[in-house]
Formats: sequence, structure tokens, C-alpha cells
Amino acid sequence: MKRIQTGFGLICLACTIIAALPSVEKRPFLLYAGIREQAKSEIEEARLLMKQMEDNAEIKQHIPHQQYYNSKVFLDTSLFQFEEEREYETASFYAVLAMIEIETTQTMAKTRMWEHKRLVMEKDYFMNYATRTSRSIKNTFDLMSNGFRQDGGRFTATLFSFSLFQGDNNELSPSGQLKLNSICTIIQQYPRSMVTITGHTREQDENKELSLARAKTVSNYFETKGISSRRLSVRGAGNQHLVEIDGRILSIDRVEINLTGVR
Amino acid sequence: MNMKIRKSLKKALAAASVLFACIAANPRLLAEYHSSEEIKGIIEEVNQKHSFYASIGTINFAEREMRKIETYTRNAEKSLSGGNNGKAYYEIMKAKNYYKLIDAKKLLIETETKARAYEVSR
Repeated sequence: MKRIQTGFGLICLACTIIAALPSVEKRPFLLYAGIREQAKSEIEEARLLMKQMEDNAEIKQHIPHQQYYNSKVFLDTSLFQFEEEREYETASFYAVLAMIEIETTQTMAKTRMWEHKRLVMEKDYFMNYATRTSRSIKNTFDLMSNGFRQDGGRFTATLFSFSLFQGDNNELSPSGQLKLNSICTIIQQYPRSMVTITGHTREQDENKELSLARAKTVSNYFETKGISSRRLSVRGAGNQHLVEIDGRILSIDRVEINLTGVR
Repeated sequence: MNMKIRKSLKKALAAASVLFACIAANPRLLAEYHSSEEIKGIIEEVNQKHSFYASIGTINFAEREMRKIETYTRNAEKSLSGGNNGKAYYEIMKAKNYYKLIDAKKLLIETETKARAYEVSR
């Protein structure tokens, strides 16, 4: 009888082992150690990546919150599965997801950093452009209100000889000096500009020397007022060029002051 | 006789307890509840995406990610053919998630190039 009972017991044990086999085959206990170690190293790697990202001062302020939160959730789930549930495959899965999410977060933070840099550069450019433009408008206004006319990037002031010189010679009259003083003040406001002084004579005169002498007189006067001679150049055009005044083409004794490089 | 039945019952109960303990000690992975068809569908989707990404030259800036996707997809197919749906699901989901990282990398390269070009052209 005892033998029958022992036999029955053994049969029960065998049945139990057979019933448990598929489960053991699917997740063998003996292989758990390997999976556990793999999960552990993946969790460590994910933690390290997270720390590196958090310590990176350059991208820290650009980290997208949603992505960062997802990374944290994956890492915590992985830890929970590893330590509490002891589901090492699941822990390993979440650790890999955490790593991918952290790398994605880091990449997105870098993208945002570059976008921010570009926007700052764009803002600077437009600010400079606005400053330059408003300065240019101001210059044009100042020069035109002081008797200059604009021709492209060049400003020209025409001063008639009768208001600058005494008679037909090349000596400056007191009123001429006053006029030149006001022009001198303007020229001094644009230290990078270049000044070309051209003397002209009437149609009937071919006196190039006189036109050059008058241009030189004006140039010398500017020099005495502190304008560098390197900025000044003189020309005597004689009667070669006419001037249009009020729609009429005239040939008049005059000195033209050209200003270029006004900034 | 009554005594013998009792003893037999005790042993049967002990055996049942051992069986229950074995089953309880091996809870099924959540991922194991995914059907083979579902996993095959995801593998198909990942493969299609992989072909598309390879055709646009993703390998040039995300070679590591592309290789990882290939490895995880192979592992998933292997696990699925071995009847291990849980492992197959995990592997293919890892592969699928890598596309998010590739997209982020692509956007980073575009943004960085744009910013650098702007810096140079100023």
C-alpha cells in the first residue's frame, strides 16, 4: 500500500514539473542572472546619460519639459520593474526607452539652442539695420536742410562765387567765410566722409587757373578749420560744366563741394 | 480506507500547491498579451519606415540609430518565430522608438545649418 502511495506522490510531482515546464522554458530561472545584469547595466547607462544632460550648462535652459518628463518616467519605471517587480526584461525594455528618450531630449535641446542663437543674430541684424537706416535718413535730412542736394550716395553744395569771393579775385569775403563755416561744421560731423571741391567759371571764361585757385582757397580755409588735408581734394573745371538752377541750364562762377562716404 | 483517501488528498493538495506556486512565480509579461498579428503589423511598419529613411540618406547622420533599428527588428522577428511574443514586442518597440531620435537629429542638423549659414552671410 505504501508503495502505491509513494508512486502516486511521484506521479503528482512529475505532473507538476511537466505543467511548469513551458513557463520555465519561456523564462528560465537560470538565465535570469544574465538578463538581470543586462538590465542593471542599461539602467546605469540611462542614469549616466540623464546626469550628463542635466549637467550640460549650455543646453540645460533649452531642455523641452515634456520630453524631459517622459525620460524621467521611463527611467523610474525601469527602476521600479528592476527593484520592486523583479521583471528584468521589462526593466531592460524601459531602460532602453529611457536612453532613447534622453538622447532625443538632448538633441531637441540642442535644436532649440541653435534656433535661439539664430533668432538672437536675426534680432541683432535688424536692430543694426534699423539704426543704420535711421542714421542715414537723419544724415540726408541734415545735409539737405543745410543746402546740400543728394545725388545717389553723394551730397553736393553749390556756392556761387559772388557770395564767396570779393569781386573777381579768389579772396574770401566775410559772408563767404560765414557760409563756409556752416559747411565746415557739417563736414566735421562726418569724419569718415571725403570732400571734393571743384571750381567752375562762366561760359565766356576759360580760366581754369582761376577755378582751381578758388577751389584751393576753399580747401585751405577748411584746413584752417581743422579738416584734414587727406580728406580734401581740389579740381579746377573751368567752364566745362553747366549747372541747372530752377529748370534752367546756366553757366555760373561757382564752387561745388561734394561730400561722399557720409555715414 | 478513509485514512488512505485522506493521505492521498493531502498529497494531491501539496502537488496542487507546488503547481500554483510555480505558475504564480512566473507571471506573464504584460507584453506577452500582444498577438502575433499585432507584432507582425508593427514589424511591417518599422521595416517600411526603415526603407524610406534609408532612401533619404539618414545613414549619413544617424548610422548608429539605423543599425540599432535593424538589430532590434531582427531580434523581434527571431523572438516572434520562436513564439516569444513578449520579447518580440519589446524588441520591435525599441526599434520603433528610435525613429523619434532620428527625426530629432534631422531637425537639429537643419536648424544648425540654417543658423551657421545666417552667421556666415551676415
